Amino acid sequence: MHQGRLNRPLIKERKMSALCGIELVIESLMMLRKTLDDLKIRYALLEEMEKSEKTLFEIQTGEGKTELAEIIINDGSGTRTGFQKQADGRYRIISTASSREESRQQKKLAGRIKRRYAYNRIREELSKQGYLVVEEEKEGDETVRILARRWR
Amino acid sequence: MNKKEELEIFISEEGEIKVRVRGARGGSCMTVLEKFAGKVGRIRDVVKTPEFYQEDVSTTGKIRQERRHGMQGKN
Repeated sequence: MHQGRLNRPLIKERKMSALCGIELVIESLMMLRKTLDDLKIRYALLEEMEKSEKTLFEIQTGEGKTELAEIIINDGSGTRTGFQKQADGRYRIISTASSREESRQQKKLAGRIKRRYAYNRIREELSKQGYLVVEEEKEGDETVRILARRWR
Repeated sequence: MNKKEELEIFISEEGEIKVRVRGARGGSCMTVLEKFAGKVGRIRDVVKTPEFYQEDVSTTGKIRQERRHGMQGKN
């Protein structure tokens, strides 16, 4: 009888799971540069960027407006994409794409950049917060899955 | 005894991010999520689920074993 009582659960704890979506925020120029380097993306105006003391460069948007951006890149087909810092510190992506096809290509490129930036930023933050990456894999639809763990 | 906390993160081809926290208890689950996700971007669409109710098997097993040994020692 005594043994039966001991076999009952002694501790009950309620564990939770929470899931959320995150809207990526690009706010680190250093991380953005690292991301572009990782992807081997070509800078437009590279010479000018390196030699000049200017930090902002002109880019003509698809709507015909002239904007200033800190970084401007080429997508290989002539369309340029710029990263423009906003008052709140976040970067906005602007582009010279004017046709539907150019816009499609530009969005694809922006997606690649966002994905790699997100990956770099997540790995950085995991490390800062003491997590160890225990699994990392690419799923069928190209989604990257990371499992990170820490003991508290 | 230290408790395990896990983050499961998904990054889609378009750069969309989803984060799941596992192993944290009650309110601390949301704290863990906010502390991580809030640093990476703007949090939206939070879903909370009571993942499971379960006894802490390792702890219970250890206590049971210790009690058994204790009882044997007395015999």
